[in-house]
Parts: sequence; structure tokens; C-alpha cells
Amino acid sequence: MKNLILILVLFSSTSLLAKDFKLASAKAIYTVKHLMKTVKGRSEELKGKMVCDQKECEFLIAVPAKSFVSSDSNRDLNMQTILDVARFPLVTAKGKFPATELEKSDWTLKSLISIHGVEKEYLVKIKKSQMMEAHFNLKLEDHKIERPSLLTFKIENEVPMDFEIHWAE
Amino acid sequence: MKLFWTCLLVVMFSQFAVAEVSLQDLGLGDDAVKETPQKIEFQNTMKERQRKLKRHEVLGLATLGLMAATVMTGDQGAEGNTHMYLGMATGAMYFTTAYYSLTAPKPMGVIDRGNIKWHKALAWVHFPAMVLAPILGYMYKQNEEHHRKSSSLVEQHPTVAQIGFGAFALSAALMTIEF
Repeated sequence: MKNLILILVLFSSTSLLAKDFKLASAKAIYTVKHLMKTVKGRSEELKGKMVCDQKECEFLIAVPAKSFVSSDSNRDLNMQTILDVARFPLVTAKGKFPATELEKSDWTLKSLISIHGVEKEYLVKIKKSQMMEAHFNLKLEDHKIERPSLLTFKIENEVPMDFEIHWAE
Repeated sequence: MKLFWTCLLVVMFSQFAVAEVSLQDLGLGDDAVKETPQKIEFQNTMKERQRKLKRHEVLGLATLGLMAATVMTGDQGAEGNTHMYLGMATGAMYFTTAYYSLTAPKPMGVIDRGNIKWHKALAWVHFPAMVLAPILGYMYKQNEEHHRKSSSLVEQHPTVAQIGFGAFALSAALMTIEF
């Protein structure tokens, strides 16, 4: 009995060292560039979880592709068609990084971004102040996303993605 | 000794006890990612919509070009047939463009927002103008050929056509430039 208690205490104490974080609030913003205009779309419907133990942190963030809203409803419907939201409803970002990075104000992490059913590794720049800011340039063609065109000119292949994230324990 | 090894194993195991974060942890179950017949139908509707609106865009730009040429040849309307033929081509292109817009399916519950709202509202200006301008133009030409005096309404043919052209050009610009 004593042994069982000891084992349970040991197990729970080591598990307690792991910290769980959930997204308290977050924003994701895309910037699409075209010869004639630059357009931004945003979503605040992000869900995420980060688990940190003594050594490393692991995170997963998901955002419904349908939830991105720009200044024009017609453009949003086009975006949903291009991203094939019925088949690939979620955009996800996941990865691991050393827990010590959390103490830094700027660092870069490797993250697997899944969009349009294609997963690709990106280097994401992180800036930490009161919240966590993340930035990377999404490459549409790498995810087999057909670039939409206007007046026969296609939008740029690189789409800057910016995130503002508040984690809460 | 046995207890030591057990404890060591527990400590080691617990280090791996932090399971990989999954979509279920975010409250996103299978329903969020599963394909359903409704979702597939939605996607097919969207593709059909995109296909028709792409044609609407291309034809709309061609119509704008023809419309500009028709307006520019307006002064020669009574003399030759160039203006009339350009007007006929513009009309045919205009109504074909309108067909692709009007028959493009739109998902239920989507409320127009942004420039598309103004793009559609301007149709209430250029559509009546595009119906009226050719009728007035035909009447004006007939009167000129038969040396009859046109009524004041018929004489407004250039004004009606220019209003239609202006509204149509603005409508196209709204979809091209971010104001």
C-alpha cells in the first residue's frame, strides 16, 4: 500500500510539472497582395493548446478556414472555394520547441502548417511582449492552392500571416 | 531495490505522459473535419459560382471596352452604322455578362458586405440605362433618317448612355481597386 501511494505521488508530482496553456484570445491575419490592391482578412476563431514540461513545449493551434473575414463578402466566398473548405475545413499549426525559449523575447520555431490538406514546415518568427506575436510567409503553391487572379494578374504566391496570441494557464 | 526500479520507471514513464496535443483537446471532434454530403454539395455550389463569376468578370471587362467605343463613336451615330453595330455588340455582351452574374448560385445566409454591395447596387442604374439607351438610339436614328424632329426624351439618348457607361465603369472599378 505504501509503495502504491509512493508511486502515485511520484507519478502525479512529475505530471504536475507539465503546464497546460489554452488560447485565451487570438487573431490570425492574412495579407494578400495583388498588382491592383492589398487586402487583409482576419479570424478570431482560433483554438489552441500548449503543453509544456520542464524540457519542451508542444502546441497545436487550429482555425476554421471559413472564419476568415475580409472587407468584401464576395472575396471571402472566393477564398472559401479556393481553400476547398468542405474538404479541408481547418488550418492548423503545430510544433515543439524548447521550454527555455519561452523566456526569450524573440525566437524562431519550426512549425508544421496544414492548409488545403497539405502540411509543410515553416520557420515562424515569434515576438513576445504582453502577448505572443507570430509571423511567417505562407506559400500558396506549396499547398497546392490555385492563386486567384483579377484582370488576368494572379495574386502573389507569398501570403504574410500574422498571429496575435494570448495564452492562459 | 525493486521499489527503486519501479519508481524510476514511473518517473521515466511520466515524462512521456504528456500526450501529443490533438484536435480533440481543442474541442474539435470528427464533426469539424468530416466530409458530409451537405459540405460536398456546398463546395460544388461554390465552384459553380466561381466559374460563372469568372466569366462574368471577363465578359464584363470586354463589355466595358465595347461600351467605351460605342460612347466615343456617338457623334457619328446619325451618319454611319458603326455606332449602331457597336451598340448592338455592347448590348449582347452586357446581357450575357448579366446572365452569368444573375445565375451564379449564392450560398444561403450570406449577406453582402463591402464593395460587392455597391457593385450590385449600381446595376439598378446601368441596367435601366442599358435597356433604355438602345431604344432611344433606334428612335433617334429613325427620326434622323426620316427628317423628323425627335422628342426631348429621345434626345436624351446620349445622356442615358453616358450615365449607363459611368455606372458600369464605376461598378467594374469597385471590384478591381480597393477603396
